Amino acid sequence: MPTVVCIELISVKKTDADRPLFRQIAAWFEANGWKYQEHLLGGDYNFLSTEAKRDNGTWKLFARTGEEVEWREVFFWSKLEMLVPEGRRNAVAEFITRSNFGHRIGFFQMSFFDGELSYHISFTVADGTLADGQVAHAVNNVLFSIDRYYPGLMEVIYGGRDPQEAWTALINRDLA
Amino acid sequence: MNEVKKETSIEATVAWPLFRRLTEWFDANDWKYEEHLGEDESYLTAGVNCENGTWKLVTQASEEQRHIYFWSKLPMFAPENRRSAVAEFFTRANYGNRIGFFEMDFGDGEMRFNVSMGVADGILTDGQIDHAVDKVLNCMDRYFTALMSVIYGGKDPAEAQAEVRGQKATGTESDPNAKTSHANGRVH
Repeated sequence: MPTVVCIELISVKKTDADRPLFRQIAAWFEANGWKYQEHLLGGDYNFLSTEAKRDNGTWKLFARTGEEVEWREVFFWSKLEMLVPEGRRNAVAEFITRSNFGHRIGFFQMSFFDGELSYHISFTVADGTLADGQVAHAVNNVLFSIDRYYPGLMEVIYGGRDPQEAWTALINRDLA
Repeated sequence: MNEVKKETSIEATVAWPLFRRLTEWFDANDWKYEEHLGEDESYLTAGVNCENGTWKLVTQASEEQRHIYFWSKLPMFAPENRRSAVAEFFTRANYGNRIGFFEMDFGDGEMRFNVSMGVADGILTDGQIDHAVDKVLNCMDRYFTALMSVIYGGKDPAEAQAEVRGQKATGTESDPNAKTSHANGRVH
């Protein structure tokens, strides 16, 4: 007769102490008077969301953390609501490649699969600590960049504008 | 690689605290490198043998902004008629990349992989430098062959990117963040 062994799976509830980076970012939002939501999907899938008004629109901002010893990382990003139509994805790829070059902190991403477009800043905390200044720097830079490039992106996506022209016009506006 | 004289005075450590953290890490790990000191921004360069080539690694510290940058720049430039294909390849490669990104200068075809960090009021640790260096070199080495096939072999960027990620070109993106060990170690 085969022996049947029953294994009881024990669900371990993660506590705040297990997610110090996540809690630290939430604490930064609270300390700075930002309204935000916690989306507790479990483990590293948990994320925070908020939104902020800037010159060209109100942008959603997300934050997520990796808390495992080997993966102590923090991620901040802003994702646009619209998806880039398939016929404009190559033009947007050129526009964001031009925009990413020389961008020392952060970069645009686009999915060629569905046209999702987002701007990201992420870094490894590793064996260090996450400083409030790093959170502030990431939050402000994500929002600044999505706002700065938004008009140019829209011109390329919906105005049919050549990506080089749109990018050059945007840079010239900034220099003016 | 040539070695240059290193400034080791206390004054230099005070003047370039982030840059000195970088050189301490390279010294502690026995890397050969060249350093280039500037008033605000200083950088160091090292050559690293990996599986598919010897990559130039550059790390720079901006003391005023409290930023650090790590990048590997390829020696060749993407020809003008392949820059759109490379832009597509990099956009596909960057999607889902948790740390770091590929960039290309459309003006001259320069190509790099970058990892950067705003240190702000934090402390730059050995573990953070270790991660950044590994990420830059692993990504450059991992994507290099496919990138060359796009530039010089006329390969479709979607197919080339799918091959890197070990799947068919179905348009789906898999996890690009799987950790890889350093190609063939740190031979400098």
